[in-house]
Amino acid sequence: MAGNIKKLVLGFILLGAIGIAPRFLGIISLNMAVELAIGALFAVSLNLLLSYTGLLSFGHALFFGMGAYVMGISITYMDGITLIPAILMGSLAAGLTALIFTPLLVRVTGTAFSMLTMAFGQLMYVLCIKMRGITGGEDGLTLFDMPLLSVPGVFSLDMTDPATLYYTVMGVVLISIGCMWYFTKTPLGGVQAGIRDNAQRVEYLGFHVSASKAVIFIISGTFAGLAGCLAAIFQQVISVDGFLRINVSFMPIMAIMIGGLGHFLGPVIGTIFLMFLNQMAMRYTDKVELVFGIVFIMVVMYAPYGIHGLWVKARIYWGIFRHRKGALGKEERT
Amino acid sequence: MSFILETQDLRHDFKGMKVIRGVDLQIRQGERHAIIGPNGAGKTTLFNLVTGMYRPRHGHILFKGQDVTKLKPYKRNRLGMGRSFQITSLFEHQTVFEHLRLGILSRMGVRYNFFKPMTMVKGLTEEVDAMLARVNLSEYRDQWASLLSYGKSRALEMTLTMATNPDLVLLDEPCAGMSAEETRNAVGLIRELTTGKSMIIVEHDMDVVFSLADRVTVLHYGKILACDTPSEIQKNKDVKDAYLGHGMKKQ
Amino acid sequence: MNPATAMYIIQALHGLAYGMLLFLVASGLTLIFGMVGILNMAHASLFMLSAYLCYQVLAFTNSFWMSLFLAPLITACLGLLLERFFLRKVQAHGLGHIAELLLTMGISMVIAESVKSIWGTESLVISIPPSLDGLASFAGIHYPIYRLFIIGLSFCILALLVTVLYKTKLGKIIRATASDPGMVSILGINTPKVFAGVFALGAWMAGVAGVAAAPMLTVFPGLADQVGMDAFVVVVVGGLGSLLGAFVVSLTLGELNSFGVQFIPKLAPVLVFGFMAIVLSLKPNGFFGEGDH
Repeated sequence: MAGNIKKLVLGFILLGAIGIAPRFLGIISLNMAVELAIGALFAVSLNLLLSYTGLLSFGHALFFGMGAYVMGISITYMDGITLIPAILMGSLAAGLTALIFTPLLVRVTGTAFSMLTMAFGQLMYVLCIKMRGITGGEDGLTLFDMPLLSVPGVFSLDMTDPATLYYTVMGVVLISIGCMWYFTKTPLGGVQAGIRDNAQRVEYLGFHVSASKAVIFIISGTFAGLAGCLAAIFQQVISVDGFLRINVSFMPIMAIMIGGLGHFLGPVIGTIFLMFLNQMAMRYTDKVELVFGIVFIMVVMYAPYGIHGLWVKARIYWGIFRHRKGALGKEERT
Repeated sequence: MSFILETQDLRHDFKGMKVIRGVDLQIRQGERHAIIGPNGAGKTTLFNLVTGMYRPRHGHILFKGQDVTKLKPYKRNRLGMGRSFQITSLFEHQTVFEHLRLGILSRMGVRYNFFKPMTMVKGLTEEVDAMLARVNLSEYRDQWASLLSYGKSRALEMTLTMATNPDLVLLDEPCAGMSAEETRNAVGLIRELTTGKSMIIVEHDMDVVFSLADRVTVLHYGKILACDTPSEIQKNKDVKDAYLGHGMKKQ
Repeated sequence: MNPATAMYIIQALHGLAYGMLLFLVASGLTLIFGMVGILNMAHASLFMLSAYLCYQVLAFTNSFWMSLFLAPLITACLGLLLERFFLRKVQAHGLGHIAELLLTMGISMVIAESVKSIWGTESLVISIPPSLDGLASFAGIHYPIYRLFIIGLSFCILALLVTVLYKTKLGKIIRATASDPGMVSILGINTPKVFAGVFALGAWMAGVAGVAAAPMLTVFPGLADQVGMDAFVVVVVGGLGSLLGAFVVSLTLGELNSFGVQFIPKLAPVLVFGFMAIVLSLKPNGFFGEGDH
């Protein structure tokens, strides 16, 4: 119980910090925070698949990009559309894409699943380059006139204002991550964990494993699409390289690994770390990819359970250390 | 006479190797039925055919009078068929409580709900705790299943199978690898959990078979050699020749 | 000969040359996958590295044959080191394939960046060795000798590979290890050693392909991505772990590429992925795939 209260207090402090941050942060830091939040949402959506169902999607950029492109296209080609329906269309299109792929993806597991997702991610990448007429090809789509995020007569938010954008993104991201967390606590979430550990047994308990996997795949795809929409609003340019390239799929996986596989908030921590690493690397060297590559190798080799794993390990060692000290103390006394 | 499970001329082969060669099995409502036979007789394959892991090459499986030959395992489970596994088949990263919770969720028919947290599903936690108490696993409630002793994990395996409340339960060597005392406990647990249900058990330990079963089927090279009460089976000459002859001496 | 027919033959030969190169890269990839279930993301990087090494050896010795001998050898040694000091250690973590995928991805990033810092980002020109330069003429068709050389070289290596795999005891062990590593190890065969050997062999073949490709394709830091993606498609479509599948699909892809560029140049890349999408929709485990690992 005490642990819960501690967590609650911590949560409120964090919420407060997010709330007042724009008062203290400059525009650059504010933008970084927005980028971070979007990355975290993307990574958490992937983690829902990876840590809770054991499915490693290597082509999640497909959904991220799908959300962004559908939103961007609807803004570009539909006059007078406001942002809310555009975002909804983007996310739903991503979810729908996931739905289309489910018959295929529930039939394979393990590495074959990763490879299939990657293959379709690449297919989308190439298609988007080639469909120049709609997607702008390699140049991408530039959203010159960002519509207002508004409900007529109720509120109207201008996304080109950094602080407004910050609050909107933070709000959407927090609610989305909250939804996904809540989801892991529901019966279907429980079934997912069972599938991750032992799919066959779950099937023999009367659960339709393929259908359960399909549902989570669609949910994960939808939230990834939402993250894509937010990223598009933030960057105002939707390009194939920024939204559909293999690296885009790869970053959230790395964030999950660095944060700690199997932990719900691991990807958030991982995203923060990657962001920080990126800043440091850019400041001190021009070989950012080299730094990233080395860090990935180090993480996989020496900290396979990421920061969360290191933290658990440290606590265990701390426990042993204290225990030893206590034992020594007793010996001295006797 | 109504049969809960009936197989008609069931046949199966693996890459041409005939493992099940025409099995007509009839399990009565409410009986405890044991399947025995030497290694390689096809017991586990028969189990996998009945529970739906494989689809038979030939023949039919009737469960409660319904043809289930082509149904997937989860559908057979929903009709009331449950199974345990020979090799303990649990969830590595979940507590004992979480195991049974999955089983109970399935029994309650709460399978796809993602709006309501599990803690708020009515009666769920209480039922799980009641089940834990019934099988004396309460003290391990929040322990990871992978940390349980062998005997306890086998008990959890069986309890998990029973948590979905099947009418017919198939136990695949529930006492394999157990010490004498663990076996006694397991037999007690099986009795307790399967009261009023139909059960098929595959087991090598003849003491377990003869103390539990109402009827025994002897499987030999993919065919039924004999099917009778335990005492009659013990007298059966064919069975003695084929299997029990030296099997009994060893026991 | 009818010019149209000649064009078809030339395009078919182009396709064959690229397809065989692809097979040299993809066969190592698929063998490694069959044995330990790792899709080595750094495999194409080794291919690219070898192309750069070819350039370097050429600069030192001025002999193409020397680089054809040395560069693949160095690549194979590097592959051996990667397996011994990285992959094998990560396998011990028991995290499954995700760790291996990420590790090899990290390695490929490091290789790409190292290549950039050593040789720069500009594309390098590697000229065709004089002895293989020029056109061969046959029945009115003129075709570059160098490409014929690539086709011949690839078939030699393919023959070598098939002989080793299907005619020797070592090959038997490799194939058995690929289908059931646990059982083979129980039989008293040192599976890690076998795997290291296969890894090195795969790296060597990628290295040969790299040197052979260097004068034909542009050598630039994006080469690994370009060829790697095609090799990846080959492995996935052919069926993870299937050598026959890799061969069939490599050639198919080569021809698809070659004729695609000729007839529908704009859609050529889409063709490859479209082909993949269709095959995978019908057979998610690929043409010759056997299911999961």
